[in-house]
Amino acid sequence: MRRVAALVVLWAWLGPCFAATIVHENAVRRQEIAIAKKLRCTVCQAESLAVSQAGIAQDMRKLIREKLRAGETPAQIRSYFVKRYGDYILLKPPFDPLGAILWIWPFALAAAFGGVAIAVMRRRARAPMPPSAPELGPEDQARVEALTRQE
Amino acid sequence: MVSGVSLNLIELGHFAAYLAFFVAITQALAPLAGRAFKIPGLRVVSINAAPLLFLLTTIGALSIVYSLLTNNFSVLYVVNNSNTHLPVFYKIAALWGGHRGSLFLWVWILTGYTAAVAYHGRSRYPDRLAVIMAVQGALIAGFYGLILFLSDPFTRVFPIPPQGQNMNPLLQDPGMVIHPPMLYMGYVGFSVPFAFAVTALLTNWRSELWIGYTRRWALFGWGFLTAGIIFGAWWSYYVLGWGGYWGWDPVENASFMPWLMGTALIHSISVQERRRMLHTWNIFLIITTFALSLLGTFLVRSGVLASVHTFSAAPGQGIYLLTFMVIVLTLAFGLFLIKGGYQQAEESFVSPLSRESMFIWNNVIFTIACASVMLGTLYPLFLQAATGARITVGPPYFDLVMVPIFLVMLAVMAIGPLVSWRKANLPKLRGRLVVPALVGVAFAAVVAVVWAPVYWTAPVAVGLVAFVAVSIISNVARAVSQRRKQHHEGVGRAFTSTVLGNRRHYGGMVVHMGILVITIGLVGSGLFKTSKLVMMAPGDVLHLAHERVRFDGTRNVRGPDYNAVEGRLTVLNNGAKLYPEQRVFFGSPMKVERPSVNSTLLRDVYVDIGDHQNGKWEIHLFINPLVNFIWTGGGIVIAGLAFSLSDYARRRKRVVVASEVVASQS
Repeated sequence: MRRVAALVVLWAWLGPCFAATIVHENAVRRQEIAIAKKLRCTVCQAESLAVSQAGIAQDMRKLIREKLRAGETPAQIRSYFVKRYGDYILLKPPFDPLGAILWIWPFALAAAFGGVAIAVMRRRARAPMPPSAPELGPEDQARVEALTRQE
Repeated sequence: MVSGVSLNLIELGHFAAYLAFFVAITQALAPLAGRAFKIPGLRVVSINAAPLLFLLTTIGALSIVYSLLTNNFSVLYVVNNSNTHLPVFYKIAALWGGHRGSLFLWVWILTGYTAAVAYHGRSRYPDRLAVIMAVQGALIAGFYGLILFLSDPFTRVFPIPPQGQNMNPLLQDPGMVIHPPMLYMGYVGFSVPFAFAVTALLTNWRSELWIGYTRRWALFGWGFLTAGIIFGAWWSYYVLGWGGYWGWDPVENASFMPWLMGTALIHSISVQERRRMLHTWNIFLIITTFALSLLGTFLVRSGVLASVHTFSAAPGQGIYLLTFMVIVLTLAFGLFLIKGGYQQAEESFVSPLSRESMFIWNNVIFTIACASVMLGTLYPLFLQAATGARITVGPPYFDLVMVPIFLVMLAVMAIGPLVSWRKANLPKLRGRLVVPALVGVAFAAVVAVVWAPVYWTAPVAVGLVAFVAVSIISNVARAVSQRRKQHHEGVGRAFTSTVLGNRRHYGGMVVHMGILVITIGLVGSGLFKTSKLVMMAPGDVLHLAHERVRFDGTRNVRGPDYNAVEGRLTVLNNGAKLYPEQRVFFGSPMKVERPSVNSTLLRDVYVDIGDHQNGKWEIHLFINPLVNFIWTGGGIVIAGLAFSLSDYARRRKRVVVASEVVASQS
């Protein structure tokens, strides 16, 4: 009886630990993929570490996994890779003096083109238009009718 | 076997290509000479040169195909891109499987379009045809110069090797056989509107007389470009084995940019036809779209971008293409700056809320989208050239920037077709928008609740798709019921006569529907895909997203020009078998993973097999929802476009009459 009780206690104590390990391992995998998606494979052409089948990409993923297990945060791991490979490794360019233009550009364009479109539409709405083309003369009218009848 | 006949044929083709080069130069210069020396008859030379050029280029292309089919290894191009094991199907496709051949395909299609324009224009716009031909001739001569002097597919080798290298293994797929010709039909198709626009600027050709034809050519090219991009995605998905179909690869972007501007163009031309405004803007759009086609060709063919599409190219070709592009575009944009305003708008805006203003917003959005893709694609190149700093602009950037732009586009797509020309009746418009908007909100709410912790773009995109769909359907329903009242017809008859009576408009609506179906596919596969990479021993079962997949083992198989390890897997939910392969092609050290896909309407089970270790194999499993919607949507887009274009054949006579009337006025 005592033994059973001891087992139960042991289970009650160990079970969550096992579960925690499994949950932790799943979390590591999820974080690994999340980090790998944002880093590029250095030998491939525009592929992320998450999808690349190259050997080096798999090694780098393993490195990410080990660092996560060792308790490093995703931010620490990312900065480790940036230190080694430069901004080149980041699929999403950083918001620094060199990368900023990429992020400002779409907004600047939206403002500029939107502004130009509104200005042009306003000006055109007010501006007097050149006289429209003259109505068809009787001769032309006859031609049109003749051609329509042919059809 | 190398036969004497094939030796002669390749030289015949080479000779034809040289002849074509000089014919193209003559075609480009004849109208100028005719003007300078007052010999109007020379104009005809330009026009007659078009079918001759097509014939000569066809001889050149067929001689290359014949050399490929007969394994004529005295031709360098055949040695580099084909061997005796290659199946016949791919031997023909090898014409565009390598760099030199694909440039030849480019010029072949260009001469084809030129001949078609010469035929099309002989009765419709005979007075300007010679100038149009001269512009096309200059482009053809430029490309022939590149082909003959720097990238000659007819080059011979001696001693003759006994066997060729292989075609790039990644390219040995039916999708790749179709993708390049489609894409080139699209790229090159935009050269026709370009030639029209340049001719118009040079000769003060009234816009009304040519913009309608241009629209038709632009739509034609746009359809092929769309199909080409979708086939490219399809190829990427079924062949490259990374589980996706669009990676914002610079080369994909190179084809996407002309698509975006081409889309702006085909919308904007409608405004000019209906409201006689935006003449100058349309010419600018036409030139820009073709400029982006040239840029795309330059980016892919010059080797400045590293990509699967880059076949080894000599550096001189990049410089030639860049110089050619700069000359063509400087002349075109220079001409535009000097004479772009030759024709002013004839009507004014009545209201900021009108169909024409919605078209302008469409243009603004597409232009922003294109410029954003362009910066993201070119900025790393510029930065590296200027400062040596290397950065990467990858999918996370493009997703973040392009998705909101695309969502705004969908909103405009919902409202645009409901707004009337000139001035919208606000209460009426509000009444028409209430139901679609409510349905959209309902759909968004359902998605947000059912798939609870989901990224915000999913409910918003689905809501907008529902909004657009209901607004299109209600619009058709209104037109049909109106017709029923007026003509006392039954529902079926009223529907067919309404839709058939305005094919151009309803064809466009079908295209919009196709875009919606594609959007659903993008949302499903982009935001809800899951994947797992595991080592599996035979008998193991993998669970992922309600699917159970069992690994049954492997066996060795042999293809026509490769050996492969074939994995055997079973999807336990529906019993489907999957056979992914890892292929090793003869004459290539590269291992190529060929995925296997079990596709149903709602989801794809997608499997790759990798290397093995201790009796276990590396299995990469993806569950990609709704991918089939993308291909289906692409089909709907093309069908809608064909339906829309069928209007022209019906109305051609009337258009000719109308243009003659306008001509007699001016």
